[in-house]
Amino acid sequence: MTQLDMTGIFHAYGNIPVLCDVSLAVAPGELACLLGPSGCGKTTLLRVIAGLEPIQKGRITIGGDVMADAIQDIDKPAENRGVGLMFQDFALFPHLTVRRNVTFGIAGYHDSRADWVDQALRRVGLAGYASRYPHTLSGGQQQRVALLRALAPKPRLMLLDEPFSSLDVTLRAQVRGETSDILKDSGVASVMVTHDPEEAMSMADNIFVMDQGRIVQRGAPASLYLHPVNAFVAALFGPVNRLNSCVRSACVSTPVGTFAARNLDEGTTAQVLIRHEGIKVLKNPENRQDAIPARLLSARLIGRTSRVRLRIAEGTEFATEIEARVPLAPSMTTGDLVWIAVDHDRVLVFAAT
Amino acid sequence: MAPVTTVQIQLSKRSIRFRFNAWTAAVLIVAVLAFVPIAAVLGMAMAPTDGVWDHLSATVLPQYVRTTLLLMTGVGIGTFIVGTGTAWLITVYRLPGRQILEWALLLPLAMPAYVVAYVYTDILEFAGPIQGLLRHLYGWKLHSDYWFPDIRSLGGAITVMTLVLYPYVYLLARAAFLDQAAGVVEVSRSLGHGPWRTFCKVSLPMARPSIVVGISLCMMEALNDFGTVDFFAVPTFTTGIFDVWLNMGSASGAAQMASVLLIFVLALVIVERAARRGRRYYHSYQKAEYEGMASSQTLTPKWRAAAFVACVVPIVGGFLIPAGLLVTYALRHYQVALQPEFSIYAGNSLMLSGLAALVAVMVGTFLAYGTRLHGGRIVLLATRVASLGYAVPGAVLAIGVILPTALLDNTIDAWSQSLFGIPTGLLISGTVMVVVIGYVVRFLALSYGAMEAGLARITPNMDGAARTLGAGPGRLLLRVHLPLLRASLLTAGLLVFVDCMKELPMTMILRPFNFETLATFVHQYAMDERLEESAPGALAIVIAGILPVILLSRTLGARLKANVAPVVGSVEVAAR
Repeated sequence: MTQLDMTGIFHAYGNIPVLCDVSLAVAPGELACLLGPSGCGKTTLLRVIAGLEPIQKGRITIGGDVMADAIQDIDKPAENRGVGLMFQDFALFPHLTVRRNVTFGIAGYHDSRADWVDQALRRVGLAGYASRYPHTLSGGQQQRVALLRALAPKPRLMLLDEPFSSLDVTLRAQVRGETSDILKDSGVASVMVTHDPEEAMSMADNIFVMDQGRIVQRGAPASLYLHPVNAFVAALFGPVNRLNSCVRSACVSTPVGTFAARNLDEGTTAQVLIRHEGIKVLKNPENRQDAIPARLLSARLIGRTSRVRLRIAEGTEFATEIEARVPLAPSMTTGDLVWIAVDHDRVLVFAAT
Repeated sequence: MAPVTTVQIQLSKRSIRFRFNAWTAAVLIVAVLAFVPIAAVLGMAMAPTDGVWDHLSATVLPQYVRTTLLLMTGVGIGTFIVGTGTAWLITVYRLPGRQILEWALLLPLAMPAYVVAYVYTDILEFAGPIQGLLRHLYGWKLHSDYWFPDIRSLGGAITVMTLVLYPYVYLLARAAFLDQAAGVVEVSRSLGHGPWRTFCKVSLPMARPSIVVGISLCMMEALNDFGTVDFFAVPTFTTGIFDVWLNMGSASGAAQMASVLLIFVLALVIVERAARRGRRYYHSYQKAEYEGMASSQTLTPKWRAAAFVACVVPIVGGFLIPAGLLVTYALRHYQVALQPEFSIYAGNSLMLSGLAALVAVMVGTFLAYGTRLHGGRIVLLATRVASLGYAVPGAVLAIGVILPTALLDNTIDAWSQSLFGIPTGLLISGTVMVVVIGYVVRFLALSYGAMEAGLARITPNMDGAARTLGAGPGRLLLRVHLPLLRASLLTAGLLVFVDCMKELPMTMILRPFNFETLATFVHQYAMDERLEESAPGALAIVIAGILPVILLSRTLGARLKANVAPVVGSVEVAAR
């Protein structure tokens, strides 16, 4: 059972292809995230679902009803799709009060239902703001009004386009949680677009990673983080050290160790990605056989962790710099000789591109 | 209604292609219609003139070219100095009464140049009070006894036009100065440049594109002027066109003169467009803290007084003196305003301006929606062409309107006679309709600009929000667009209305026989040396002209506030 089902969506602006054979499904009550760099086509995809861009190729059903089908030449207008859309800039109507904004989409709204609006506003912490105009609200308050406005007509599907990007960084984490709760409470299936992996991981049930108009990987946040299908997805979810080397006897040798080459062809160049948190920095390792000597170049405390720059294989032709993330400030000084140990579960090997 | 169809564009795939074509076609038709007058002038210029052209080029033409060039140069330099200077002083220094000066510097915009010319002639000529006082004081009797500058001269025309046109430069220069990040000025000063060198080396070059746009607008207005140069008997192209058209009765001769004038205009349009393109490179990313910027610069009391006087003089000369005199004369001759003719003239002015404003707003709205819904290259080019009329002098445009309408009338008449044996006579030319057509072609840029700026404030996301909330095209238009566009519609109408009230050269050529508006009545009386009696009429025009100044002054104070954006927008596109 799916709430949103889209198959074989292609889209182009003029001659420039934006979406290429995109298919995705969202279950009822599920929050799915479209994650990808700007310009990867995720906003276009959202607009196609909402009916703000005409369908060019493919088929979209919402709650089992066909909304658009290029072959059957069906393309329901946006106003008849029952889809709530929340924009990056919120797009509140500047000439309407908060109440009128929220009730704009409720068919046959009558002032007798004013109680409902007041209740909803109270629930999101906006009690007493009903007759204010949008420009008098803070960014976070505008965000909540926009969310409420989109949810008010009880849409069958909720779409959110970068809903937190115009908010202050400090505000974002809090609003993220609130939004998540509101969406879960309403039980609506949602698709959210974001370029922030942390945002996607903290909110989504399922993540669809997009790159250049295609969905490159889909799955639960943890599986994407642990088992990325390529270097692009791996790098998207956090900083990595990249080391290139040749595949010899099904293994890849690097200055920080030798790793299984999985199913890469013999003699090809492999790309080894090691997450920053996959490198442990030790002063006096118990077992020096698994440890590699390194020169500490700098260590900087940034909040709960420290970012450490190291040089390995010093004095050889393989000398290279790597970065690591370690808990708290290490009790070492710049220039010290230290030891590093690599967590093999945090190492990913892909064919070099 | 046009806008309804616009929103339906996205309804289904099939309707897109069809409606898109309909829109483009309709916008193109408007552009072609708006271009007909210019094309007609150029076409007519090709017709043989029976020696009129040879005669002209052998006699008066060199003089016309010289005077026109001198007039443009003079007005350009004058408006540059006054407009940029006052804008800089107001932006950077904390002058006494700065908040009042800020908008009062716009007041001369309400004064038609010809009215200022009449008033100054009245007080500065030989029989006027100033020279009379001098003669009384020093015992001079004859004109040859002393020297006094003659206001009825090229220099007089340049002075008068500078006084009323500098606000264009002031407005754009000030906006440019405000846009410059305060940091840029502070960096320059921290690097050891004093205020004057900072102005010359940083602020002025950064504002240059905007200033050039302003000056080209002033020069276009100078080319357009008929009342002043006619009154001062300064032989420019515009007076020349009237002379050839009305006195020599040569349409093609006038068209040839007009074509030469169009070359001047074309040069200005090219300069203006280049400056506009350049402007984006001078844009600073940070918004200026103008209050901070102003307080950071202090002046010695002496210089402060000088700066204050420099800002007050243009207001006094360009508005207070002429307006004060007009009020005095009008009070003395208020009974003129009570005569039935006066109310007929006023009614004519209101009717023509109101009709033109209505049509211009309708067409302007249509074009603005055309650009919004399909901003393709063809539509964009078409709107540019349709806005071209604003750059073309009224006299040229009038000839361009009258030629094709007469042709159309004659064709219809001949066709009707041959088919039904009934002569239709002149249906359009010689009626008020032709005046309205002329006004609309000339001032379309104003209404289009205001509507475009107004529509730009309704983001596409607002459309999207309304539609996903279930609002169909009709509801979107009624509940979102219309309320948000109300201010823009009013502004667009007001701007066109006021400019039509002031319009003189086109009205003179296009009006029906014995048909007077306030502008033509004032001009006629002034020419007959009966200025005082025309004062009530002139005052009425000035009062109407103050309305857009009030709108503009509000944009200066709160440039980013949504409700006033359309006015700035229309000034921006005024000369496209």
